[in-house]
Amino acid sequence: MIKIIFLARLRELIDISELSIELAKHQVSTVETVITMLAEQYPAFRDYLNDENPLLIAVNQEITGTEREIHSGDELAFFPPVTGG
Amino acid sequence: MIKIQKEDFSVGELFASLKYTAGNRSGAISTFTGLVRENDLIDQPKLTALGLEHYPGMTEKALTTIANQAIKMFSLTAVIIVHRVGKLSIGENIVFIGTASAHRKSAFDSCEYIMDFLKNKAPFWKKEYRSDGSENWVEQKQKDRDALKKWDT
Repeated sequence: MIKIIFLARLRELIDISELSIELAKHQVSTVETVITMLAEQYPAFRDYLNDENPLLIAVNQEITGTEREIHSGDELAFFPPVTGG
Repeated sequence: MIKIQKEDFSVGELFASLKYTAGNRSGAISTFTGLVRENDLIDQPKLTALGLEHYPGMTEKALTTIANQAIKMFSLTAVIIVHRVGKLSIGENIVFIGTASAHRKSAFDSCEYIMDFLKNKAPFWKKEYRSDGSENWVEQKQKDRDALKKWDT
């Protein structure tokens, strides 16, 4: 199982703050494969990506790219560019 | 010291804490405080509040990384970063950065460095609440992205 968190404007658009999913067995999962799966299941997430909104990704609370491998127990977070300070 | 909190902070108390940690080898302390300001766009409804959201767990890690980068780069003797979250009113404190070092250039520059990196790397998001009931998420600005370039070595 992996935990997926959505934050800020993205969370509001898709109306989900967190969910858990099972990774497919017998194949390597990457951030990219998770994004593809989420885009299929959640039209609002697909719309966000199709509108070319910038998407930042963190795995286990470190910024990473789409090629990063995902393993059971990982925490994956999706969010827009940050605006603190 | 890194803190993320809902409550307001006292700049005076944070300065005292910084000075205590900095010790007698420090000749300079520099501080920055970010505040909620009124919107300056005359044709928009007034800003009534600013909401600050963050990613618990990652925020502390990101700020610690930035602080450690600054300590190494500027030979700092002390660093404090405090960032508030929650719904804040006009004029309220949002963020405090304080640094101490032997000499003034490091103290001045490190505050700016930490703020530039915080604006790009720390997982906070701002949402504006306006007097007509509208809400909108603030977007990251190109000038904030550009600000990092001056620190490229």
